[in-house]
This record gives sequence, structure tokens and C-alpha cells, in this order.
Amino acid sequence: MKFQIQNSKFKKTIMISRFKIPDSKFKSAVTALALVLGLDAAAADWPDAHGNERRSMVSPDQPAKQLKELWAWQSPVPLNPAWSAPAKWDAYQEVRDLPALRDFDASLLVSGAAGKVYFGSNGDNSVRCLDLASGKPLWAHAASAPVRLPPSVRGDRLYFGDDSGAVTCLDTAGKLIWSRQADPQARIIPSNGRLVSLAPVRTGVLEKDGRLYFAASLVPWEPSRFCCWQASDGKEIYQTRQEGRTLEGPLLLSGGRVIVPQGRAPALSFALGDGKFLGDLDQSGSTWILVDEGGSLFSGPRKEMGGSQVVATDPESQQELFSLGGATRLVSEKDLVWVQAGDQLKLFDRGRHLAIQAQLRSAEDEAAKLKKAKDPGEKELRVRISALRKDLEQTFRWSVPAPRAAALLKAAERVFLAADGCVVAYDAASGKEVQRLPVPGRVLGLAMIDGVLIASTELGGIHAFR
Amino acid sequence: MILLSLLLAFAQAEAPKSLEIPLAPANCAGRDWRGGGLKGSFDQKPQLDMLGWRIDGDNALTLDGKGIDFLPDGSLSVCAVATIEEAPDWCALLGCVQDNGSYERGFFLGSRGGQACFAVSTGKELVYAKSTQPLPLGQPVVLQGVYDGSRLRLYVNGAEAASAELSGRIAYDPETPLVAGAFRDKDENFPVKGTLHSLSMKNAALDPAAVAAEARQALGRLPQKPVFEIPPSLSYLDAGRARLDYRCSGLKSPVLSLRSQGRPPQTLAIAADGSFAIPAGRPFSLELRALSSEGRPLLAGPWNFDAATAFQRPSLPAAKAAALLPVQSGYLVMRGLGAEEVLAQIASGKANALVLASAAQAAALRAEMLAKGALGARVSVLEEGSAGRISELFADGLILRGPCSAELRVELLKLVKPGGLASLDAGSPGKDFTAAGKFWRRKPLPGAAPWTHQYGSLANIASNGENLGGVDSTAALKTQWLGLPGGNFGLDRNPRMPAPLAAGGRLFHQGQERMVALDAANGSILWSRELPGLHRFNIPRDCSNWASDGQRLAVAHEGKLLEIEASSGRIAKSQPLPAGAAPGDLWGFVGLHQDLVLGTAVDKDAPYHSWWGGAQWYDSIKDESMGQVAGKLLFASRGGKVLWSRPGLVLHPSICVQGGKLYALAIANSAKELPPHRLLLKNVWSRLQLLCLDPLTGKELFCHKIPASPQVDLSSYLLVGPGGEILVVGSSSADRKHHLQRLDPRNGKALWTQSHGWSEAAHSGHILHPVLHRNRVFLEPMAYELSDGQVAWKGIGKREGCHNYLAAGNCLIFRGTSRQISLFSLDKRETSTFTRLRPSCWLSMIPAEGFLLCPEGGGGCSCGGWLETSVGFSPWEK
Repeated sequence: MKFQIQNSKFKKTIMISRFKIPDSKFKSAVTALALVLGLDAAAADWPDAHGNERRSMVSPDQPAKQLKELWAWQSPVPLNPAWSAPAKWDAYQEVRDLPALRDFDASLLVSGAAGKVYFGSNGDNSVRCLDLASGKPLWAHAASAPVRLPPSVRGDRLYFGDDSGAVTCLDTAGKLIWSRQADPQARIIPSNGRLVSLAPVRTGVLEKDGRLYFAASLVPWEPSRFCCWQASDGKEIYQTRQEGRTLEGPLLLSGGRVIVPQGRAPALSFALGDGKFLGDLDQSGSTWILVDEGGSLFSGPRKEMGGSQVVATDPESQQELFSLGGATRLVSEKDLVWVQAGDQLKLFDRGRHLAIQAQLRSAEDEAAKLKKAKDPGEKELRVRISALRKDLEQTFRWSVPAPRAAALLKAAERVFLAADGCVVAYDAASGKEVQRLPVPGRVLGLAMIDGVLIASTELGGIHAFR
Repeated sequence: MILLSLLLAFAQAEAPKSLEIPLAPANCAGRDWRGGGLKGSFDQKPQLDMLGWRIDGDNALTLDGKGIDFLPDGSLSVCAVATIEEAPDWCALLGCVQDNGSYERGFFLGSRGGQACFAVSTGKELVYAKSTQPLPLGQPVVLQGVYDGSRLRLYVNGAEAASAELSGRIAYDPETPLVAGAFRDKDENFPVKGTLHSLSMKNAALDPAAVAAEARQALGRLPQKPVFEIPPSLSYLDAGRARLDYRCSGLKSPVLSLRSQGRPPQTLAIAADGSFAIPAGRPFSLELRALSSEGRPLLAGPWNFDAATAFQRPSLPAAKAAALLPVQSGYLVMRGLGAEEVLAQIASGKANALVLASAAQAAALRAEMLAKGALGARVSVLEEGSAGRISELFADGLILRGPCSAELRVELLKLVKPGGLASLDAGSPGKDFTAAGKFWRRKPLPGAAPWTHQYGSLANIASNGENLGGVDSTAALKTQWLGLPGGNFGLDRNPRMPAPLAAGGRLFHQGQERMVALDAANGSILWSRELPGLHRFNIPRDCSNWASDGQRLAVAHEGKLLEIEASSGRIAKSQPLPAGAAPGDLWGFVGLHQDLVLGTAVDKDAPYHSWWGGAQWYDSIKDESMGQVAGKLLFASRGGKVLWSRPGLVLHPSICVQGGKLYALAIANSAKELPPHRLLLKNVWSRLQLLCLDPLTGKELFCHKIPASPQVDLSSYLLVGPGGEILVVGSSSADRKHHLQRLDPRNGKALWTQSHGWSEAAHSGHILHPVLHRNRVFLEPMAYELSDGQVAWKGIGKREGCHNYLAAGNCLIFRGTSRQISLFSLDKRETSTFTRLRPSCWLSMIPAEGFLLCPEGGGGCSCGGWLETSVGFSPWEK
């Protein structure tokens, strides 16, 4: 698949913030940064699905250079994802390999902290806790409907939602603290052998500053709710009714906003303070989405596409920064972006790209002025513009063959790629493949808890490596 | 030394000599190959069996030595028998060739740009004898190249396909070997994908008769396809196991092999129940090899499947079955039973349990069920206070034990679906139930009706009598169920495939060479079956390939009609076409009328089977998608016995039955004069006749010429109303109008005519099928009185996208604004819409069995935020 960088159509670029931190001090710097921003609970934890409330898939952990299998846990029942896959292709437009619109619960994603691993199950309606070191089951909580995302871990509290529309708080020993229905009047319907509410909680539950954020939503022709509750007792702070929308998949925080994925349709943006709807982030679809440490939103694929376009957007201005044609997954750290595109893993130098892009725009503005003034210097400037355009196409540091990834995870010097039948570890700086960890089935989810790599599979397996 | 002698003898012999390159397992040890006195090596270990050498586009056989040392440079005949699946642009089955810029040497037999060719160089560039026809893919083909020193000839299956002038001796590159299975020279390597059955060369130029004889012989050695009485179909037992069902007399030593993920085929170990392991969640293909009763090799397949469509039914932990109700699938609601009793109710079947209990009991029961491995997978536990929020009419059974408040009892009884059973401690469940032995059975829903044929019933009126609770707006329809099979079961956008059917409480849905039965009331998957060869598109120009009477599904499949048990999905029997059909004909029309099966035979190329690419949208007014499929032989059978048959062309979209009469648009004198294939309406419209037969006897009741009308070329439909009102409706690209005629059955004359412009020249707006409902004819944007053709009103809800209208109760149902499911109220004349719910094309949702059923809710479209789900709506909850 051809890989392209597409520059923003927008003349006025919102420059993303970048952290000029020496590589050797990166871990401590990110930890310090996280503490300053209040983003991550602790350096080695993985408190939310996809790592944190930005779903960044970046861990400050330093995994072992060569990992070994530590333990494996297998779901006793088959998984029961919320949605089926789409048709395999769009025959009319001759697009193959359509991605799922909503595959947020196709494996048992995990969260973890303080030596424990937590996950919810759409197979047996449970929330389970395993010992990180041994994989030994510590406890299991039985919910009344499928739990599609792992609990958020905050101190000694866990928060999760389920398909009955309940939001539940447990302590880390599995004891029920409180549980409440988001919409106690919502009808309950049969669905794939289960009974689910028309207002299920499929966004996970995000805790921030003592408040819980989540949505209760199923289909766009039924009303949905975006909710904020007190974390201490589940008391409602606010809820806003949403029509014509379907809010599912892990929520993200970006500044004062909550970003809500919507499948291949654009993500939605809500004000953290009062739940006011701030608009669609209509630069991109939101089947897959993350916010990097500088606040840039990466999401894709776009609607009408075959699943191969990731767009970087400034969520505040909603302006597109750049897009990566051919890309399906990425992780971003500082100025660098590790991108899966087709059968390649590539390292994109975003900092250089944006710097050249800024120079290019400045030169183009200047050239326009010179042209207007009929200044002969315009011709010379056009030569420079042409050179800058060429430079813009040369902002990949390397590209290596790689299997198709369902997820990427960055941890210190490593980039891990979730593939069919294995997890592949690459040296982040050079792209050299350093290890291939065999895993039965397709690996769809990755996590890093206290140096332990966790791989979640389509078969309901959870495999730990240290 | 012996080898060299043999090769020299081949190259220099005066008398014709053959060089065979046998491709059998006995000729191979690891990568080494030996045969016919020659030696060579494969790039990698080859897949060799009784059919030859299977190549996956990644292997080639290179013979030892240089070609120049032993290949003839005078006359040459080359023969390759192959089944090619994918041919690279440069494709050589056998060659000794160099093509490096201006340096071109040697020969190859294969294809260039998808066209068969034989190329030879006599010292200059390669000269090609290249067929103008595409290389046949996926079927055995014999390619033969002959060079006689003055002319180059290519033969395909024994017939000359191309020739070119060339003279001189064949010039070889001194370093190039003879290579089979790939176009390979110094710079290029393009292996083919497929099976090489045999390769041979002669150092002489065969004459055409000898070429033909050689081709006949080669084809005669190939395995034959077995003749199945019941064609192979696959059912999934769970995510990792499946069973292939078929019936074929005289099949000996059958061996089933599976291929998946590019790996070599593996011979399957078949368990006692006929099942075998499959790769969970992955695509795979199966191939059946066997011997006939005479010992001749037989080969069937490969058939492609996708285990991602295996619907799992989690097993239960060991529990003793002690069912109080005979409910084997769907949902069983229980209250007042302990954990063991609950499991005993569902242990022997596939039903899911919903247990309602007090808040304290529910938490404990959930924990117990989780510990037993049953929670979620087979058992849900809800607090009984939520009973009033659950979809009414969804449960297959209700078991109520112990004390229960009157209010809760009423709520629980509401959950039982039509035909569902209730087991109560005491008392009557009320007027909605009837006694059924020890149980109570809920009565059918008032005004509910099945959807048994493409347009509802055999009358073709796009209305089946379903009242849908009298509702006329989407606000009055509640989401009844949601879930599988969703988008990946079918083909994206459903290129005008057969409509779903619903009867006997079941919803039947076709996907891509597969079908599924769902419970109409709760969406439970009752069974699914993969049936290779089951596909039919462009239904507006054809008829559906299935029908149901509730007990059975009658499915046209290639040259047979399959009778499938509606309850189990088992293919009970098959029925061949009558004797009057020609060999190779397919079963076309399917109609179930009383105890009769009505059918047609069609030419094998008549139905539409293509689905890839924009042309397969079947919406254009210029291309071949306009061709009407016509049956060649109309017939009726009872119990598999043919009652009557009638030759002559009848248009498939027109065949219908109403009031005990069979109607069709027939073409006068058609049997002799017209090609039995697809018909362009503009060529036959003036010759159409309205034919009426007694379906029991085939006796002609009348046959009238259709009155003259503007040229119709895009679509033509025949509908017959409940009072025998006959409507012929066609669409013309000449004036861009729909033309309607109501015909007098006594003489075929028009009682009234109407015409109006298309609403749109695409997205089905120009080929819409009319709806006949409540004594009116609806054809966007018009509503006409059926009695006299007067305009009742204009504007019936704006359709968008490739859908058609249909009617139920007090509304028309269609895809409205932004392609979303919409209802048009016939009383209020206003439209309501389900937000962002876009089903597939033509007719993919049906009002039936008391519900609005949509088995494909939009996952097949790549755009926007449509949902990947199947969904049912209920009008019964207020």
C-alpha cells in the first residue's frame, strides 16, 4: 500500500507542543510530566484501557531486553463482542479488508496497578483480578451484563460500566462499594443470547479529579446520555441527553474536553465541566483514536475509506495538523510517531515534518506577496518551495517490513506490535526486530504493567511476558 | 551420463520422441524431482498429489542442465494441462526463456496479460501466438504450442486459438535451464498459482488432428466432478468445528482436505459425528477427493468458507437435564428456581436462561452461576424489578414457581412470545394464552403474517397482509432485539439479492453463499448453513431463489431445488429439474403454492452471479444489467413428482399466483426464435402475452396479447391484487417514465393506463417495483386507485438509495432520507425515520410475524456511521 503524508489543507496550523527531553532521561521526564499534568496514576501502572486516559499506548516502563512468557490465562467461555465485523469489502468501490467500525471489546483488554491485573469480560459478565507476577486469579465479581472494557484503577478503587447500564465501584479486593444504573428507565432487549439495556455503558468509566465520566448509549435512534458522577458515591453531577448519536468505545481526555469515539463516524467532543456538546471532530473517523502527550488527537480511519487513514487533529481548534495515508495504527512520543502502514512499520519524524511544513507555508505566503508585487525574487523563492516540498516527503527516518498490527505499544526503547499469532518487539530507534513472542490467535490488545507486557487475544487469552 | 544420452536423443532424434515431465508424488523426494530420465529441483518442497502439482505462486521446478543442451531447436510441440487460479502478467507453465531488453531467446507456453500464448525466439525477439480470449481460470485447460519451422501455433483445449509467422531454428540462451511453473529468466521470476496436471514436449510438430487427440487424452485423464444428489453444505458446530453434509451415490474413499492461511492442504480427521476441526475465526477452503465406483478419481471444490461466521453456542458445565418446558432454543425466562434447577432447564438444548430474582438473590445467583461457568454465556440474572423494562413478546418459554405478586406475574407473562410456552404453578395466564397440555401457549399476534416469497407472497404485490400492529411511524416501533449475524455474514450493500423471508416465527436471511435462520421475536440464531453456489443478484431483473411455507425452505441451487427443514436447517431432500430441461440448466423460479412447488428451468448463464465492481450495482440504464432473466420451462410438482411442464419463455419478475391462478408474462413463439438467455425488453416488449394457467394442471386459462404501450426496456413487473386485479408495470428509458396498465382478464385489454416520470434515474428510482396495498397502487411518487387508475395523491415519502417500497398495515416502509429506514403513514401522509439505520439494497427488511425485521442493518457499507447489526422492531409496546 502506498504510504503518503498529506499536509493539512488549513493554512493556519496549530503547532502542537513538543517536549525536548534527552532520550536517556525520558522515563523520568515523562513521569514528572505525567505528575504535573495529572495524567497517569503512577509511572509503572496501566490504569486504563490503552494505558491512560489519553489511550496513548505509551508506557514509561523499561521492559527486559528479551522477554519470556510469565503466565497465560484463558477465558472459560468464548468472548461475545458487542458488534459483528462489517462486510469484508466494499465491492462497489472495490475496497477490500474493511475494518470493523466498533471493535473496542474484541479481546479482554486489561488495566493494572500495584501488582494486579484487572479486566472485564463480555463473555461471562465478570470483572476479574489476577496477580501480575503469577497470573493467579485473586477474585471475580459477577456483573449483571457483559463488561466490555477494563475497569479504571484509581488508588484502591475500580470503576467500570456494563451492558445493563450500571456503573459500579469496587475496591481493589473486589468488594462492592456502590453500583447505580445510568438510566433506570431504559428498556432491556435480547442481544446475542444476553439481555442488554438500550443505555449500556460501553465507554468505560474515566475518573478525573474525583469525577467519573462515561456515556450510556447503544443505537442512534434511541436517546443516549453523557454523564458525570461523583466518584465517591456515584451521585450525579450532570448528565446531558444526546440524540442521533452512539457513544461507545473508551473515552479520552484532552485538556478540558472529553472525546467520545463513534466508530467510523467522527468523534464527539464534550466539555469536561458541564457536559456541553462541543461538536464533531469531523476531520476523521474514530474507530481507532488516541491523544498524545502534547494534546494532538490521532484518529482513523476516515469515513468512505478502506481503513487506512489516520488524521492528526488539534481537538481545541478542530483543525487538521496532518494525515498519514495508508496508516492503520500508530504510537506517538515526543516528536516521533511509529506508524503501521500496510506491511511496514515506519518512524515518522513529526517534528521535522511540522517544521518544514511551517517553513513551506511561510514561503508560500511570501511567494504570493512577491507575485502580487511582481517581484523577480518570487522565482527564486519558488525553487526553495519546491525543495521544501521534496523535504516534506522525506520525513520518515526508517521503514521496516512488519506484520499487520492490531495495536502498537511504546515502552522505552521498544515498540511492540500486536500481530496474528505473535507480538513482535522492535528497537524503537532503528526499527530492528529484536524479538518475536508467539501467542495463539490474533493479538488485539497490548498493555505494559510494571515491566510486564500483556497481550490479549481474540480467543479470550491473556498472555504475560517479562 | 545416461541422462545426457537421453536428452541428446530427445534433441537430435530423427523420429518424434516425447519428453514427459511427470508431476506425481512418486517423482519427488523433498525438493528433488526425478522423472522420465530427467532430474531437477523445486524451489521448495512441492505439493504433489494425484492431480499433479499444486503451486501457490511461490514455487517452480528447474530441470538440471541447460536447455540449449537438450531442447529441440527445429520442430517443437509443447503441451501443458493446468488449472490456473491466478496468472501473473508474465505466466509460463513451461519455458526456457530469456527476455532481457532486446535480448530475447528460447520459448515459453503460458499467457501474457491474461491471454494464452506460445512464444518462440529464433534469434530475434520472441514471436507470440497469442489468443484473443482470456485464459480460462479455475478450470482445467490444455494449452499446446507447436512450432514447425515456419509457423507458430497455439491451441487451447485442442482448438487452434492463434498463430504467427516465424522461421528458423529456435535460439536458446546458453545458460538458461528449462523451468516449469514460473516465468523465470535472469531478471524475472513470476510463479503461477494453480495446479499443473501434466507437462510434455515433443521434438516434432504435431498436426492439428494429433493435437486434438492429445488434448482429448489429457482432459480424459483429469479427475471428474462427482454428481451430488444433495450438494455439499457446511454447518458450524462451534467456533472450531464444522461438518460438511452432502449426498453422493457411489463415492468411495472420500478424503476431505482443508487449506487455510496459505498453508499446504491438510487431510482432515473426521470424527464419528462427521465433524472436523477448522481454524477458528479464519477463512478456509475445503476440497473433496474420492474415487467413483469404477475407481476413477473424483474431485470437488475447493469451497470457500469463513469461520468468522460460526455462531458460537457456549456449552454448559455438566448439568442434569430435567426440562419442564420443551424449549430448545432462544430464551427461557425463569423465576423461583434454584441454580441447579435453572441449569437443568437448558442443559439439553441451546436455550439461554434469564432468571429474575430479588436484588439480594440476584447477586448471589450471579456469583454462583459465574463460579459454575454459566453466567453470561448461557445465563443472565436480572432483578425482578426490571421485568417491566424487558422487551415484551420475546421469550420462548416462561417457568414461574413459588409466590409471585400479581403485578410481577402480569409483567412476566408479557415476555412470552407468540407461540411461546408458559409453565405456571397455578392459575390461568389469561386470554392471550391457550392451554397446551400441561402448559400454556401464547396465541398468535393479531394481524401478523408471514413473508413467504420475494414480494411478500406469490402475488408479487410487495405487501403480505401484515398489519404491524397498525403503527405508522418509527416512534411507535420499539427496538425488540439486536445482534448477529450483522454485516460480515453477507455481501456489502446486498447487490439486489433475494429478500429475507419470515414464516413460522422464523426469519431467514441469505448472505454470501450462506443462510441463517433467526427467531423473529428475539433474534436468536437458530441455525446457519454455508452453501457454496448459493448466490443470485439483480433480482429486479430476475426472481428470488427461495420461498418458505414455515415448515420448509425451498431453495434453488444450481440445477436442483433443495428442501430445507425450517426448524433445523437440515437439507432434507433435493429435486432435479424435470425431463424437459436441458443438461446444464439451472433451477430458476421457486414458488410454494398449497402443496405444489412451482419452478422454471433457466439457461445456465441467465441468472446474475457477479458482485465485484461498480458494474455489479445493476443500476445502469446502459449495460447488460438490463437483461431480463427468462425461464425456458415452467412447471409444477407435488412431492417431487412433476405434474406438468410448459416450454416457452416467461419473464421471471412476472411470475405470480393469486386466487388459484398462475400468471406470467410470456413471449409469443419464444421457444424457437429467441435465445434462451437474458432478454432485452426492448426486443420482446411488443410480443409479450399475459398468460394465465391453472397451477394444478398447467391448463391454459387464457393468453392475451399485452396492449401496445410506450417502449419499455428497464424493468417489467406483473402483480395481481386480491380481487384478481392484474397490473403490468414497466419502465422506459426513452421517456424516463414508469408505465402502468391494469388489464382485463377477459380480453387482456387495458382497463386503465397511467404513466409518470421517474423520481430518479439511478438508485432504483427508475426500476421500482410497485406496491399494491389497500386497493391502491404505490409507485414513487404516486398513489393510484386500483379500481380506476385515478391519482389518489402524489408524494409517498421520498426514497433515497437503492431500496424499494413495501407495505404493512397503515404504512409504506422504505429507505428514506439519507438511506435510513423510514415509514410513510398512509393516513397522515408523513414520513418518520430511524436515525442512522441503513439497511442494504432493494428489499432487505420485511414486516412479518408481527415485527419489522432487518437482518442486515448497514454493516455492509463502508461509509458513515452505520451499525454492524441485525435488528428487529416491535409495534406492540406502548
